Amino acid sequence: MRKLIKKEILDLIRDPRIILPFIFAPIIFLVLGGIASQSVQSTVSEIVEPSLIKVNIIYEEKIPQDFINYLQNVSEKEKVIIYFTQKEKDISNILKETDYDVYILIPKGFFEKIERKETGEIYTFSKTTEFRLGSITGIKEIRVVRIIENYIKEKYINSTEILNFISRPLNYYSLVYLPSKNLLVSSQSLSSLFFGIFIASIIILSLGAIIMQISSTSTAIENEYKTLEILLLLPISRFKIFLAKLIGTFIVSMIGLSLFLIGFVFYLYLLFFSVTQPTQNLPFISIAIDPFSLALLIASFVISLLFMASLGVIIGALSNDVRLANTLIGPVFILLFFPAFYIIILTPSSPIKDILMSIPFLQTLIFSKEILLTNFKITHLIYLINSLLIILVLIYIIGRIFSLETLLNLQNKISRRFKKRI
Amino acid sequence: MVKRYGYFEALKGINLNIDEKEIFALVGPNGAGKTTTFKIISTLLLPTMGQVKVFGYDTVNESDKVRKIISYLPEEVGVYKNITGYEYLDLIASIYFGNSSEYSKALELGIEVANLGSRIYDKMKNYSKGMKKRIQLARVLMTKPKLAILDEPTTGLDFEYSYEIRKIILEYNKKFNITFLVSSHNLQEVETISSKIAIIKGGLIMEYGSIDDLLEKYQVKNIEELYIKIIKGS
Repeated sequence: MRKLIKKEILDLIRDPRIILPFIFAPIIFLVLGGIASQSVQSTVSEIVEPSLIKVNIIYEEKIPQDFINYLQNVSEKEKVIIYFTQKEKDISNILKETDYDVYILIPKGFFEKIERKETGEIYTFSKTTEFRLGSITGIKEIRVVRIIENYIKEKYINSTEILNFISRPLNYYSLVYLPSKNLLVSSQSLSSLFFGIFIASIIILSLGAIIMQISSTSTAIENEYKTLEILLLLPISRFKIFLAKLIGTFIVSMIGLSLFLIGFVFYLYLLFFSVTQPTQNLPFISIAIDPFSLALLIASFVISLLFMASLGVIIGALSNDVRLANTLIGPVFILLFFPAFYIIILTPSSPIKDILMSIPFLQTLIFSKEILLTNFKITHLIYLINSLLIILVLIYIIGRIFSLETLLNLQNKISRRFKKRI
Repeated sequence: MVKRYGYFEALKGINLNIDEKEIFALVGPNGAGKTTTFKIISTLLLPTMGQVKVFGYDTVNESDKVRKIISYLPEEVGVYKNITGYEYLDLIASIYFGNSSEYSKALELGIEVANLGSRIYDKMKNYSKGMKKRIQLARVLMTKPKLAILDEPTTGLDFEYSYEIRKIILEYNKKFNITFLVSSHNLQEVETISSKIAIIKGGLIMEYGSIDDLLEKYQVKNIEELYIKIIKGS
């Protein structure tokens, strides 16, 4: 069987159609990450080190001289260049004909309201010609609004100390308690963790789809080229033939997936870690996950990938050509995708959760979601055993039907059904 | 032997006896049931009714034993594109013989039958149709099976390759006492290599016996005339 596994690995790993997408994955992620990080970086650098911005203040009535003086005094410190325009035509025409970073419209009656110590209203405008990450953040507008707010505050509060106090009377720290782990975490880091879980779920979904695709294609090719007939004629049990195919596909998928993951890490690094400081609470993740939970998660992940590989092999075996295999993968993956999406977005409750927890792949999604918030208990181990039993039953069933007679009958039924629909 | 695919009866009841060490040819038009017959004998398919015995072993109940002593060359068989001819023959030899001394002998024999020179180390996707057929024939013969089933072994090959394959069949039949069951549309080829034939049409055996006896029975000069007479007469 070792030689059969080797044949599977060599045949797959030397196939450019299988391996090239994996090799290109890190490069593609690198390019994508570079593009995305450029957008985010411009936004982040705007916060960290504000750029010089050109501001056009459009007024409908005469502006008090002290306001003009105030803006001129702070312009260098706040890195703004202020221009004034009297509103003589429609605002959209002004925006169309001029080119400033930020426009502030001061409506009629604004300064009278301020004099009466009533909240004033202003409007900010900016121009954009495209939608891209970080393009509509309002960071520059906020900087100008803060300057105008400070003008109003200084007008009524003479002491700088009181002004600072009024500007920021409270520093607050939001913490969340995780009872099962007896841990206090900042809500900011918890948000990061949830984002991390979301990303992890997407990775698991993608990996599942990739491994199913590889294994189904590899088996369907055997049908298409009739090499499966030769395999089934060898003096070796059909179960071993199936197992060799499964293991071979699984090993190649794991090699490919590691390249995929390297690319994905590049992507994340470029997108987040190069433009922001790593979250100070990140060490929390490794501290908070106990070895038992981690072991169960890894075991569940391996079972999931085997499950997807088995599904792929059975789809490939039931397809008399690669095209039919690719057609069949869609509906099968959708069947898994809907509950997976439900798990990612919502938290299922019993008894649905108990059922989903026993199904490989879906179980891994729930485990990866729960591991950061709870320490796994013995019930998780039972769920893992359930999923292991499911995969063993599946492998046994596939091993049993792995004969040409059965496969031909099933292939004919599937082909006829699909031809009728087409 | 009867074989049905749903409502379609591919074999309507055929009865054949092939003697040990002979080269037996099964000839007939397309769709006559030749490939189905071969697949049943080689344990790939199950007969709907009837029984097939290969050297005393039942193809249904003792399929494991049958698979050890037979080899089958399907008509349109592909190759693993990304492994070399050598790696392929090495795989087959190790599956049949493990690490025993027979393993290296089988591998040597396979390389000899394939006769591809240094091209044996090329990936099989670079092989011509003839080279692919040779590597498959090497796979069939390297294990010295008691029964080799060859489904149209020379179809689509040029004269040179066809000639070499016929030569190999005759040589291995004599050298290793391998029984051959062959199908072919080339009746001259059948006449060259076979001693006995069966003519099959519509899932039924129309005639069966030694070529000489049949030529005499139908009063024809050659196997082509015999074939036409039997097929048209039916």
